Amino acid sequence: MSSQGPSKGAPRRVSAPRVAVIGGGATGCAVARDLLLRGFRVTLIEFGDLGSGTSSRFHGMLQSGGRYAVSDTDYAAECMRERQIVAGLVPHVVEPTGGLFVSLQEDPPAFADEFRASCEAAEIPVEELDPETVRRDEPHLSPTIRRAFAVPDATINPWGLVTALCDDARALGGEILTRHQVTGFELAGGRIRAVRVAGGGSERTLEADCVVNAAGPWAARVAFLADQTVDLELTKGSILVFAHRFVSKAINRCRPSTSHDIMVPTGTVSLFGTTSEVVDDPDTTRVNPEEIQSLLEGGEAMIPGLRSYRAFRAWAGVRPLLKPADWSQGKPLPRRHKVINHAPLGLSGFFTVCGGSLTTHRAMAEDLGNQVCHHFRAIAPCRTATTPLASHRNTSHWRPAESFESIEAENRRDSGICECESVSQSDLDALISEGGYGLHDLRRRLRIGFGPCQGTFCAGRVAGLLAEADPGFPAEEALARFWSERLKGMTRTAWGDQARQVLLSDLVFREVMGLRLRPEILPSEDRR
Amino acid sequence: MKTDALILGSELDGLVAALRLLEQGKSVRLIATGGSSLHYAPDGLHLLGYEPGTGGAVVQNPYEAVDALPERHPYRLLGKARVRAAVDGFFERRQELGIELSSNGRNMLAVSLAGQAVPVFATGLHQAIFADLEGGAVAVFCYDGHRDFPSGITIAELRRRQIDAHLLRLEDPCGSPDSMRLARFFDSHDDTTAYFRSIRDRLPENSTCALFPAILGLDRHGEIMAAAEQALGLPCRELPTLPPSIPGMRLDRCLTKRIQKLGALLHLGAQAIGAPANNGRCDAVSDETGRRFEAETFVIATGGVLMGGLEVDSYGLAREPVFGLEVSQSGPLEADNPEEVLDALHVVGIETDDRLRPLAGGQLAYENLFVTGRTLGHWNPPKESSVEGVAIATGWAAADQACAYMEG
Ligand SMILES: Cc1cc2nc3c(=O)[nH]c(=O)nc-3n(C[C@H](O)[C@H](O)[C@H](O)COP(=O)(O)OP(=O)(O)OC[C@H]3O[C@@H](n4cnc5c(N)ncnc54)[C@H](O)[C@@H]3O)c2cc1C
Repeated sequence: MSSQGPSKGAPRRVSAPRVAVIGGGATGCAVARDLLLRGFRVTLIEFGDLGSGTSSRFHGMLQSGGRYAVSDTDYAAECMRERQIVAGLVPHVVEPTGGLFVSLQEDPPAFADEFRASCEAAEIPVEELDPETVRRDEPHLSPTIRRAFAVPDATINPWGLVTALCDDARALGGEILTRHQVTGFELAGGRIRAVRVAGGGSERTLEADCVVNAAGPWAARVAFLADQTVDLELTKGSILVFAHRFVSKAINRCRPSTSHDIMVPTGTVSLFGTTSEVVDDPDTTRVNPEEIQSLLEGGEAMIPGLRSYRAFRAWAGVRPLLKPADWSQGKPLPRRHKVINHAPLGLSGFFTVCGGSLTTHRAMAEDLGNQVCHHFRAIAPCRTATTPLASHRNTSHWRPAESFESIEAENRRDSGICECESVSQSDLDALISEGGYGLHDLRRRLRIGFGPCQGTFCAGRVAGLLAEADPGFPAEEALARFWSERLKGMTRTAWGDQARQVLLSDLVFREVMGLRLRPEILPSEDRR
Repeated sequence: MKTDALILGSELDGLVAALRLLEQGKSVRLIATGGSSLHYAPDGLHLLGYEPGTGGAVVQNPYEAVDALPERHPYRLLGKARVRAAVDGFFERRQELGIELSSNGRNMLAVSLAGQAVPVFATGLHQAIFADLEGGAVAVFCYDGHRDFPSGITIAELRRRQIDAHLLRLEDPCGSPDSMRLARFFDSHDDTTAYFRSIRDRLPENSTCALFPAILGLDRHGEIMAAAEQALGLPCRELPTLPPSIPGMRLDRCLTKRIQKLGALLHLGAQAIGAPANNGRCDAVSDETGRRFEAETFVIATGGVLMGGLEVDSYGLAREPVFGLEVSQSGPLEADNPEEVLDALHVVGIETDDRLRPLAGGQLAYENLFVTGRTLGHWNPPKESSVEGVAIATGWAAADQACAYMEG
């Protein structure tokens, strides 16, 4: 341990370097925890609510790495290692569904053997299943399955993850500023001096010895504020949400990775995706009608009759992958993350961490933490893999029926507020008494407005409770905006019963509540 | 048994058509899956509340605004005189129907669930309208645990509009109160006057009006309101709740009872499926259990996309599932922004002639079939705020057309 470096463990010395972490997604939250455990003083700054960026606009998987086994075996091995570590750290937000790679009639037969060999090379436990068994266990899948492989894929609740990481960071003495935006930096002599932050109606300056840019698809914009460039390739992926869990495992096509070939059961729903389209704007969340049709076509091959099932929403997220300087056009970008130390590029104390996936968020933070320690010539080994979280509960894994079971076990007979996701008044009261939460924040924490009715019945009830707790709560404006935002996703899948649901929702919000649509809703509407 | 008319759907338009046919001595059978959008609808009759094409300016006199509607709008198809005759006719029958309505011939501003001012042409007698509240001190009663009446919103919005509003919490009288249970509690209470007396001392002294969630009785509403006003000694009004809507259910029940009394045969829980055509005439409709219902004339009051009278597939194409009628649709429903999608889902529907008979390729498709309400195209219920008006006008007109057809 060098004299300038922070000491291991608390209490934190006032002389320890101050690090500003930008971005409250999985990466930023993990970075905050990593650096706090190494003894740094940390402030995390997040533009919206925690986990409201790509970390929730994703496919829901804690990946075994199977998907990358053939194309990038080392990265696949990293996914597998991290999948195990994360499931051990936050079991209450991980559902170990298991994954299946299925080779259908139209998939290249040779790929299956290559897939198995690559999984073995990456140390991903893989087991070939008899197609007959798969047809029995997953009756919705196409009957043309030729071969099938089971791998330990899992699903993860991203808000549960970032909340657990940040609770831990706070317990370690870190500061978390949500609804604060980094608007600029103060630099002197090629070094970072301070970060300018806007939030809560004012702007202020936070002194910092080091800045970590973990702003996901916005990382290039943040770097630009410090006159640095980060070459990202932003690809938008769109996802269809179905009101059923038609499959019990996460299903992948066993073929070279392409678009629209994964069905993931998560919570009470299933996510099918994704498309892939290069975009310029990290705020792009618009799903085009053509994307819906191409998703449905891809989905029909995997699950015949998919068009007749109820899809109740579509949305998109933007993947932030780094473009290496010498990369040739058209070649798929490497998945593995990268840490950029901007010192050789003229700015000392500025780091960007980007690429990777949600699955590897902890490893990304570890890599970043090592480099920050190196920068301060501190010796403080990474402890995130082995230190339990403050909120660690020795519970089993997260299961979709949990809320029903707890209502029954605790004999809670108070009124239900959201029927789709079985959220009761006592769940809400606990959060509302903390104060400061809006409708979307409660949605992310409790899943109200997540189910097939998309808040048609519960949003008014919740707004009523918020208005009771805080007479200044702008209920009418908040409801109109909440509904307008939910409608954006709902109207993308307005067919079958969901077309009726959209009109029922319209009836309730416009005719019963007397609200007007807000056509000017921005892409970041639900985040602030 | 063959009937003079077979009505598909128990929406307001179907019930009005049945009433009007029965009054003219026709035999009527009504088959429906059983749901009705009335069970979601707020109190009152909405005739035409917002001006089309002006970004939603409130209409003063609905009849004066009819000419500004699109050419193929049901009101324009029927013409102002027929719309007025139907609405007046319905209004005149309110006593025999047992429906409490009041109107001054112009739109009034009612209080919505979120405390907004929304136009309504005829109000339920005890529906809260802003004109009754302004300048006064209102006491808003709510029941503990009644989650479908989010009183916090109403209070905040009334105060924002400078109305002195006080929230008064009442004990839950029925265990897990929902709107239906509360309404039944009042319906079955032996002495509602005594109940209201027992809460009288809760009223602040300067109160000028007492507001309740719209749960004061389903079948004995009038009596219960009278008891409340007498016991509390001031005007009592109701505010909308989240669905189910008790005022909508009252209207549904009054009409259903009336048509049953006049001899209508009701089959609820029946899903019409097949209807073989025969030279531009329809003879019978089957349901999914294979029963066949023969009739001289048919009224399609199936409730449009909302109630399943029209189906939309994942390519964005709409169809009419019973008769396979031609749906007028400018293109697939894949508009770019949410508002356009809503508009498209509302305005899609069956194209008819001015006697409400469906067309195919511009030609008459059936001579003894009449389409009403939400299954008609070219109108937009929430944008215009016209849902009951169109239902009454088209249900009424369809009945008259069916009678005219039968009388040769
Ligand atoms: C469609 C799709 C599906 C995916 N599926 C999976 C999957 O199944 N499994 C998996 O492991 N990975 C998946 N990924 C990848 C994964 O979602 C991302 O790699 C990961 O979430 C990135 O997290 P992050 O914290 O780096 O970025 P983000 O979650 O985007 O966080 C960045 C944060 O920075 C904030 N920010 C930006 N600018 C500022 C500023 N100026 N000031 C303050 N804050 C700012 C943003 O608000 C945002 O919250 C998927 C990605 C996409 C797009």
